[in-house]
Amino acid sequence: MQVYFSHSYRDVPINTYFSALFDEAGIMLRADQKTEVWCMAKLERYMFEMNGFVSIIPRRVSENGSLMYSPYIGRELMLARRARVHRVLFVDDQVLDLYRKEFPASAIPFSYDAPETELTYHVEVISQFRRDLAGGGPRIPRKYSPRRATVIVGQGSVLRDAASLIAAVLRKEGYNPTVVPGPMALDDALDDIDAFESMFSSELCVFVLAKELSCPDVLLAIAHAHCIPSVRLRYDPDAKSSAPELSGAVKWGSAADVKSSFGELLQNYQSVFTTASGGDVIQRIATPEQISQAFSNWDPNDGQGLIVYVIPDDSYVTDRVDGVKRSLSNIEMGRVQCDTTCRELYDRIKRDRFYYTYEPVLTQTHVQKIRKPKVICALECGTCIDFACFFASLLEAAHQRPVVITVGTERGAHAIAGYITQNAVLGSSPMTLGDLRGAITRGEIVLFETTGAVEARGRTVGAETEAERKEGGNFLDYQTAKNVAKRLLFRNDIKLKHFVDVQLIRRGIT
Amino acid sequence: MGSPVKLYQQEMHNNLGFFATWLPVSILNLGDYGVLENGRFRKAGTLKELGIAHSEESEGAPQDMSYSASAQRRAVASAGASTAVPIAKAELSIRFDQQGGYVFEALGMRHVEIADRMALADRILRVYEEGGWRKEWLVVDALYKAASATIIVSEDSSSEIVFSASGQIPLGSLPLADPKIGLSVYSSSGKIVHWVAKSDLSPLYSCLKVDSSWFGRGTPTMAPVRGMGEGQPLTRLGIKELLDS
Repeated sequence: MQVYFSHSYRDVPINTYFSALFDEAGIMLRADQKTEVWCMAKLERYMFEMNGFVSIIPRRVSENGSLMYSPYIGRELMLARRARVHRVLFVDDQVLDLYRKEFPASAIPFSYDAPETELTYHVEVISQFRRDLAGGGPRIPRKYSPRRATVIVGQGSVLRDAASLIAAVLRKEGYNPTVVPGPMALDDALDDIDAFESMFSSELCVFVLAKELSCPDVLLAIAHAHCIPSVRLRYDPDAKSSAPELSGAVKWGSAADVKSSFGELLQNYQSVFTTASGGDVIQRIATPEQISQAFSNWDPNDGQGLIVYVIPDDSYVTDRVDGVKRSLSNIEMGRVQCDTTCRELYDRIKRDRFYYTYEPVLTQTHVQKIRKPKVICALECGTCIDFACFFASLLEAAHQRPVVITVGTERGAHAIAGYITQNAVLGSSPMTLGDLRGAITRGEIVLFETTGAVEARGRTVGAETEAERKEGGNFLDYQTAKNVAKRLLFRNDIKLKHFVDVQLIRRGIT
Repeated sequence: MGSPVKLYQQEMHNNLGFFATWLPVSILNLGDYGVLENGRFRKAGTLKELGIAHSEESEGAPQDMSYSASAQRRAVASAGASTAVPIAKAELSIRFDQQGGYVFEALGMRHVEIADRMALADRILRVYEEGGWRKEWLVVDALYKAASATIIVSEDSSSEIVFSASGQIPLGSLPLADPKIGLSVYSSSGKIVHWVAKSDLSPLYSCLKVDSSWFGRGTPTMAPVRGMGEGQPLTRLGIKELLDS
């Protein structure tokens, strides 16, 4: 008995709690591995292939402090309702109170901080869900030919060329695609039963659509209503991002864009769901896998190699820094200015509510994957080294002098970031742990726990205590993040692995 | 200077990033200038004497510090025969099993430093232009001042020191630097140097100097951090320079 497990990746403790109850009831939860690709077609496919749908909906705190929930979970719930699958929803009680109209009446509230308080009731609900699944009779599956694909294409040579490219990619992946020219008139779209049957009998549909709404969009609406797995590719020469939108639409402006975006989507579509059972697996599912080439390999012995991941001209970085710089334009230069800038950047990123995750699992043991700023933004998560490089990027873009530091601890390697203050006097020989400790004491180098700006639920990451994380609502305030970094650097069980002074390396001075 | 002291200095630098003052009771102040010689700061004068004014700043509350290496501490409430030296009531034995083993305990440690180092560099270069400064001189720019401190360094690979207190006090849990305990050396074996509960010490310092390439080029101007340009005129001395002096 397999069900689709819709959940918030960052809430590992909550997910672990509920997955244990479903395990106990003999219901296998199947979840999508987190990647940076949002693939609606895959969700549509699994919605029909699973026996049911389970959703765990915890709160999210928005930039302005208000409570909300993941729009992606909302989208999955909408799909499940349209597909009319058996479902059970556990919703954070505060979220349910705020957004009651957005959930079906059957939604079950739970306490976010102590879900086990209602353990007995949860067990009862899950048992009933199991009985419903067992006694509800099989849902009539959509009959389709495996590996058959229908490509619906709009008007114009640009779209036709793109459709050819997509058909070629599909053939390469072992699919049997049929390219169907889209209807020219609304009546044709509504009455084209051949196109409908072609779509309905395909494993996958791909819509190559014009920038403006046109008649082929009607066919997409029909596919959407029937939950037919569909990839939505919309031509837009002015598109600034090729990341899939919440609706599943992917904008593209060139043949290269559409090929790359479609390739990533198809790869994701073909990947199988994972069985979500046990805390370790839940954590692994929440750790993004590499789909695009956005991750890069870093040799952990190569401190200077980290410079590649410090990207001050990344558009996400400059956007955040510009916002902060505007608010700080009247502050005089000096140590206070450096610290205010850093604090503002820290608080700004904190409002983005990213979360801490593990690094992707690798078969190569001598390299580590590092996420660049855009990927962190897309995935909303990262590791300590991702965030250390990310903050170094922000600080450099804000005209500060960033440093990235990695240390070896009993718990493994850890990375933090910071900056060298104005008028700091450092030695000319390579920085030792003692030199670094002295510079911190003299206020010449200011370090902070970069993961303090991101959510770490039910765990600590660096040298912070559980109480500090809890007090910060799973984050750390800036001052605590500085104290924590200092505490780490003065622990007697650490070894300094790398001290990366970004500007010195850029100048070729090492 | 013998290698045990170097080991102690290296360890303390690794712990805190400051040079350990040797001898620990030497009087050091911010703005002292001089040279490093045989692991010690040899004072030649003060910046004030050269007409170079500087302000002092201090951050954070005073704190107690305790570091040690290769030292085993044992409080003994009654006489025993297990140590190399006989011990009596309210005694504390510290046994070292390595040359350079040390105990550093300090109460009320306060970090002070010269406030504006760029202005300092500017003034030093002016004094140099006037013939009043030598290129090899260093300036003490930061210090730890201790209300009281106990520093013990073993110069032998095996040594022991036994302290007795003025009253019946559980020594194992109390800071050795506290003068109120009234610690005195009851006995010792092996070669050990020690300073017990000494008040108003400057046990740690750091110093900097003007980079030689800046002499004779006129005075520096403050450069923004991002446009480091030619860098800045001051450079900090590393532990190697102290140990090799």
